[in-house]
Amino acid sequence: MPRRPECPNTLSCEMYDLLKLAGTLAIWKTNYCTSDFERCERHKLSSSGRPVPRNLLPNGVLLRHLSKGERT
Amino acid sequence: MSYLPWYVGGVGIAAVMVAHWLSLRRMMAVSGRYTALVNRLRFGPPKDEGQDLSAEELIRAMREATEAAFGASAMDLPEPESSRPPVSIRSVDRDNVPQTPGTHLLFLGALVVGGLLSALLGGGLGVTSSLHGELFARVAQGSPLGKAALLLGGGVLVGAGTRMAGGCTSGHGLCGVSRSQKGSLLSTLGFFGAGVAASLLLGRLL
Repeated sequence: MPRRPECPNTLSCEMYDLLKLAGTLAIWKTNYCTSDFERCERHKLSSSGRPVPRNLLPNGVLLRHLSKGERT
Repeated sequence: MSYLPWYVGGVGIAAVMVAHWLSLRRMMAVSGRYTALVNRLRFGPPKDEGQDLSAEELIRAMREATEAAFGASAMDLPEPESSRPPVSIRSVDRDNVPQTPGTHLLFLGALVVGGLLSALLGGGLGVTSSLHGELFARVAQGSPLGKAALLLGGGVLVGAGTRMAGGCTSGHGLCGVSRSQKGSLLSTLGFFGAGVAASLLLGRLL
């Protein structure tokens, strides 16, 4: 079976490194980085020459600090 | 001007790459730092809350977001196959040196200082608006303006190619190829192949 195309920004993507560290986050890789990376918001920003916030998820959600009550 | 044997250069580059990884826990990418600085100038400091999340906080927030986006069952997927040794998130937090405009400037400035020192030690220091080589002289036809235009045009093309490929020779050619990244292998084949082809073609035509 041919391997699916991989996002060309994996080398420079700060989030891609984090996804590799935590196995429970692998679904982001399989849904974006190694398949349909064209719809990744990080890829879109990077391709348009704009800075990519380190807390931006591929689906466009910006991660923020969890409140104290939410912390585990 | 005399040069050291080619393999000394190779060993030196490898040593720099390994030292960069060991000290910063990041692959070395020159154009990435340059792009970060240019983006900072173009768009100003980051405004979004959460940019300062540590790696551990980021992963914790990502787990929450993963469950929200894909459901709780997504969290039960098996660990992906990886050739990387397992790294603890805490160790990344501790070791990962934050990259700021200051660190980018320091790195890029060190490139210039390193080149300057190398030239001073090699006895070849001098300001020039030209490149050595018969082909360059023939194309520029001795005109200072022609030489400047060639250098400027070449620089613009290299910059555009770097942005198109998502990395430069150090990022793709050194870091990507050594990690067997397909995109980097293709990029390296592209820029080396195009360089050799253009050089051969121009040599025959001019």
